Amino acid sequence: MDTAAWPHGRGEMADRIRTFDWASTPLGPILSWPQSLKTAVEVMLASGLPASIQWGREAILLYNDANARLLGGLHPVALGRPVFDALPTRHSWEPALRRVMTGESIAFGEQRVLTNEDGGEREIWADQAASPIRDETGTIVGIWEVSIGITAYAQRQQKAAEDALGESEAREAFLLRLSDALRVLAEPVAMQTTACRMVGEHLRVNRCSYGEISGGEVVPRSTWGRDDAAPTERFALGECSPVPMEDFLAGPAIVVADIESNPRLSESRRERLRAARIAAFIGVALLEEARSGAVFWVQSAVPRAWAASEVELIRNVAERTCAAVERARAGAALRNSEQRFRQFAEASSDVIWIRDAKSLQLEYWNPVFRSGFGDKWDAMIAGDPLKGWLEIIVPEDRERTLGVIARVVSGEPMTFEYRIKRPCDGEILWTRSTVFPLLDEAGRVPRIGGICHDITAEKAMAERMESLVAELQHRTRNLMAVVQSIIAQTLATSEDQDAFRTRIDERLIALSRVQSLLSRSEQQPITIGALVQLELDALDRNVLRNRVEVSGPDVRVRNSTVQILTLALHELATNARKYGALATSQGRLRIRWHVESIEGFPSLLLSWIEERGVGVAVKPDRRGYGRELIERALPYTLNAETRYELDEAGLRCTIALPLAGRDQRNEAHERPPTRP
Amino acid sequence: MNAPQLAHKRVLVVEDDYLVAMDIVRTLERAGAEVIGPAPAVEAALDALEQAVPDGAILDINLGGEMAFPVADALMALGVPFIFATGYDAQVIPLRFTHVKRCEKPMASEQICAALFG
Repeated sequence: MDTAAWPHGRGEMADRIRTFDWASTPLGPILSWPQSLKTAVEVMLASGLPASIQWGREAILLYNDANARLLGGLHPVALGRPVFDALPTRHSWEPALRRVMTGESIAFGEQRVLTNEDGGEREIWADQAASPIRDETGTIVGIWEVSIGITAYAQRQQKAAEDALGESEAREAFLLRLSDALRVLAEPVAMQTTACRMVGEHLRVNRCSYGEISGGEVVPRSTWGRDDAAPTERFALGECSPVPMEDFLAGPAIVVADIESNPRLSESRRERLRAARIAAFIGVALLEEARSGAVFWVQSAVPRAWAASEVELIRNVAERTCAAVERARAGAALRNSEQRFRQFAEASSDVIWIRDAKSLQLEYWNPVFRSGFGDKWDAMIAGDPLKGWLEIIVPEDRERTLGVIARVVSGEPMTFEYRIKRPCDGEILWTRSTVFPLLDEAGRVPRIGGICHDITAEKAMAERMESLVAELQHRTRNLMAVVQSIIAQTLATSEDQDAFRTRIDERLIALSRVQSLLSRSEQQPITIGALVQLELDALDRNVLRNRVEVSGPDVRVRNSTVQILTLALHELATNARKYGALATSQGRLRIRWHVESIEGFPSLLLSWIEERGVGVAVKPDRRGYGRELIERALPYTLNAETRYELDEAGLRCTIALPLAGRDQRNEAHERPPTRP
Repeated sequence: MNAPQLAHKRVLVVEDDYLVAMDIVRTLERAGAEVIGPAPAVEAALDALEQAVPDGAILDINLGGEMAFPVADALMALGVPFIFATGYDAQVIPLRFTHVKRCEKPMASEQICAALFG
């Protein structure tokens, strides 16, 4: 073999290898190369793919024409040099190449490679692999490396990825438009119709329908169709659905490209679909529970190979529409419930409010609450919420109220009573409030509510009852003392048992008459005239005939004076009948009264005048008790001035009774009139 | 009749109702006491206290609408033991008098004696 003749071939690299000064390299003169190296070089040069050889421990580089183009500026100096000197970027490959030198074949896979073809640097994609070269003895003496340019393929891949991205962007854009369109709608049917129309136009199909699964059946809610689509009514869902319901409910979507070739469709179903001019369809079912949810149908009048992205789009639309409809329904239900609550609260005569648990800011109040503030409302609502609350509570009850609020905020409902000063009129009102936590789903207390009932009247009634009972108790005990006193006095002045029995009977009856007057005094105020008449009426009618003259205006007497006055009048009347003017046939009795101001206070002046008549025998007069009552008891108890003059002609008794009590006179900041 | 329980005791009676006052006076006198008063009103009671300091006193609380508490204050200042003779509920009585004994009318002399000097 001629030196100049090997290696054969006319390529640039064949020439360069032939003429290279190999003697100065570790490979030695070309004539001394082993056959294995020569064979490898020949195969390399003959290869149309970029290929190279690294030979020996020094990894001397040899390469072919195709590889030379990849090396760009590193060619031709790279030839015959150790590979790591020749190709500086190769250092990172060193571990892999060492593995090849131990017998391993390595595929590097797709690599980005910089080339210098046509004088300009550019990046290409290449698939590279390296494998060991053995000599005649089987010893690994070199590395065989080959590249396959895959730039065009990589570009196609990238374009496909970009197309897919564009499609998904377009889908996202469509879904966004759908969401925007649904957001402004409030009516579920309008939402469903809009979704059907938008999908129908977007996918250029013939018909879209939205239905709801209720009790295992599909109820159509709304449909969109092109002009030439068959009327919706003729396409019934439910029992007449184009595929068995089980299929429909089982998977994410039913996709039928051509009804004629789909094995799941029975002939009868095909028949119905043909009649409805449906050749292809997609159906999506969204199940909330086993027997409720929504379905979305897209139908084509001609067979159609549905893209996976279209199926996904329809599923997305169905999900979004279903969610929007649910939200709309929940919103409507909430508005309904809210409206009911408002009507309830606004009809209440109790104050009802809701406050933020943290800031105590009012979030809701009913009209009663608002009106209680009158013209101070604006200032209250603009000011500090806690201060606004506490200010209307009377100072003594504030601390307790704060304690209650703290407990309610921590989750405990409380009922308590406190007083408020109603801002609109300054009136002090007793309030019974039930304040309670309004829990959220997590059991926290974001708000508290209050229902406040005005119990002022209730409290006043209870107080009145209490004072009535106390008053009754007082009167009863007092009456017992009076009775005891009368008994003792009567006993002391009665000559025998009969006399005692008669007198005590009469006195106790007089006392009981006055009690019944007192018990009616609320409805019927007691007048002096009524007292006089009461005692006269107790006497025998015949005794009174034409002999008694009673005159005087209606003058009301205080209840506290009635008892002792009655007893005194009773004694006067009884004595008159037994010993005085009414004990004789000629006697006369004149009772007169009027009101006069004495020392600046109105007084009742009453005169009781008895005339015995001439020549009438006088029985022994025993007027001791009556006289005592007039002369001592009335001045003592009632601060009255009295005169009691008994002589042959008869009795002249006068009583000047102040009409106002001691307390009232004291209140007038006047010194009470001195008693005689 | 027992030996007079209240012999040589001077007892002021403040009671606006004549009949009730007479009843108390009778009860006290029967028990041997010397009665000062009876006084139907605050002013009369205070006048009586200026004349003589009693050994004890029985006070009705409501004297014709006027409260007897100024008399009670005067008695406390003088260190004279006294009782309220009243059917009134405890709640009208000021806190400073909560220790004062109360007897419901009508009263027996034993009751008065025990309450005032027991």
